[in-house]
Amino acid sequence: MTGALGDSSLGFIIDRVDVGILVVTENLEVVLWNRFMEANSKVSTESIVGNNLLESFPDLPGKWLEKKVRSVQLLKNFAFTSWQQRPYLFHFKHHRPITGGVTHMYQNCTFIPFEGSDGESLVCITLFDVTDTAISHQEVQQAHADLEELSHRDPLTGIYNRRFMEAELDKEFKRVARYGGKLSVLFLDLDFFKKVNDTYGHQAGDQVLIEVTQRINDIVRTTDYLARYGGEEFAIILPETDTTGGLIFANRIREVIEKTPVHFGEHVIPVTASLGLSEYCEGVESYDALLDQSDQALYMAKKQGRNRVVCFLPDM
Amino acid sequence: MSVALLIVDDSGFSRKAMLKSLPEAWDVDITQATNGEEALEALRKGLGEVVLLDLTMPVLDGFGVLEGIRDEGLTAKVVVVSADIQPKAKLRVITLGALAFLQKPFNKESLAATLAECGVYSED
Amino acid sequence: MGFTVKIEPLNEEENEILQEVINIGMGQAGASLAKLLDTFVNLSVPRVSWVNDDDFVSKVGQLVEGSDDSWSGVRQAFYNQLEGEAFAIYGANGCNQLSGLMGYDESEDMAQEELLLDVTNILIGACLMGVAKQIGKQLDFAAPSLVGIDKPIKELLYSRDREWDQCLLIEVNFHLEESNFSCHLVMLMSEASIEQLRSGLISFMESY
Repeated sequence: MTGALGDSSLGFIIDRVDVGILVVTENLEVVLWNRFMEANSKVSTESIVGNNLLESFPDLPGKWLEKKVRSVQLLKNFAFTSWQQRPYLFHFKHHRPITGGVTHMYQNCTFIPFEGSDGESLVCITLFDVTDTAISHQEVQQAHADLEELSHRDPLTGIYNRRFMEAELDKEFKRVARYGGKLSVLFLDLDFFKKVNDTYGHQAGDQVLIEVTQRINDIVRTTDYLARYGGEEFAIILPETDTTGGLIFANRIREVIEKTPVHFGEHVIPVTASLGLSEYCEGVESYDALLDQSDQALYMAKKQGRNRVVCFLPDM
Repeated sequence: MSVALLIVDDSGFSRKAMLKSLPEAWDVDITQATNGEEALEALRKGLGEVVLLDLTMPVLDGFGVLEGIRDEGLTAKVVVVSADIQPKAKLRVITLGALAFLQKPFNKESLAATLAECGVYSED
Repeated sequence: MGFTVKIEPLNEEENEILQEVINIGMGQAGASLAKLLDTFVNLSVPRVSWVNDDDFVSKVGQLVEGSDDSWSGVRQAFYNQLEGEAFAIYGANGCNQLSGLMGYDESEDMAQEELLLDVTNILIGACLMGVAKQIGKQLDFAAPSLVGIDKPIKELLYSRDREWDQCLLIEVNFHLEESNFSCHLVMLMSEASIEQLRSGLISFMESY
């Protein structure tokens, strides 16, 4: 492996390689401490070799480190640590004073058991600076989380979109179908919304949607899911809510919308809404069927003259 | 007079390896078993004065065979041949009455040495 | 799988030797685990089988089905004369029970993940090193990494097109005296490795 290189060349390479290398005995006495360790820890090789590692670095996870060193010696097997589970072994400064974004150097470590020239049991610990990897990983994770959150939202109103709402409804549906409990779904459609757009323009229409959303949002509980189902249609999942509770809730929303017209420029735009409610009961086979019932109830509310709440009945 | 030798191992390869590694001059009548139940049946028929016994087997493992020998009062000189190299496993089989423990992978020499060690067969 | 040449699968005799070589490897893995946890480990006969890539997820699914809804997985790459990737799959209970035995500091959030990585490293390391040593092949390991915690098996194993289509499944159960935990090891190997494996198995057999 070493070819024609002599000990002094190897020593030079070990010292200067851009990786932390240290060797400890089973009692954590330091045998080797290379330049990377020296430079990053500000503890010189002369002062640490021959001394106990934990005494020089009281911040190290002592019990854990002792266990790790013992287990690799006992099992004669490599061990690894990753920054993802253990961000660092030694608390070193990072090398990003300008680019920043971190408070310390992230490290991956390897523990390699071996036998010294006198047969003593030693462990070589190598330390890789993976700060850049860690940062870009975290940035990707954050971007991923942001995108995921965005993909759940309706861009105009900021509330959930149809896809996310249906996925959540599916979960809620399965929960009550399996464990019991109550679940209602409310559909809401703004009355004569096309006329708002035609009369005052699409910007006015958007303003109505935004303000109506705010009014509903002020009433829903944190456990409810409010979503823009499409166009001027909204859906609200009401967990732990039966028809009685659902009707009270739906009428509050209907009243608030009716009483509070939307101001757009010099215009005052009156708005009303029709609502359809249905509650889960045994025999409803899927969340789709539940949505369909609410939709039928909404249709009845429209047909009976709008600005009202209708509850689904099986003989509709 | 030939010795009734019972070889117990679920692995066909392992049984073949044992057969090939037996001392050539040893005069034996060989029976093979692929699990502990088969081994106990053979032992009840007197087909196992000496037993080469694997530990990790389906149906009934080697520990079970040793317990069976003890509980039924069968007589057999058992050498355990196993990949289970935990010190506690070794201790356990010796406590259960095995004469010796041979670690896998074995070879001709280590098998001969183990057989000699427990006085089952010696080339001298 | 593109242009890769289909290699001859192992024949019955080679598989029989492989089974025994893995038995011995698992014996060593079990002994390492026993040392680490300071307990006795009851070993079962490892079940060894080959599946091709198309069946990979469904076969592994069948292997582990029933016992648990959610699983945790760790992967570890190995390289040199044998090269490939090993997966260790643990049931939800399995890794909970290990935490206590390993004496990790419970207050650490990361303890469970680190534990899974450690145990996997030990099991895969001991088992594969045991196999490689017997068949006279060199082997090195990369650091293990988490695939997922408490996920359905399909999500855990889902991946893009795999480069290699021969996959070795090894199912092992370790019964600890204090508690039970089982673990499934799955290894994917390159075509070149399977040829190395074959030649090593044959010379191992000829040593008898």
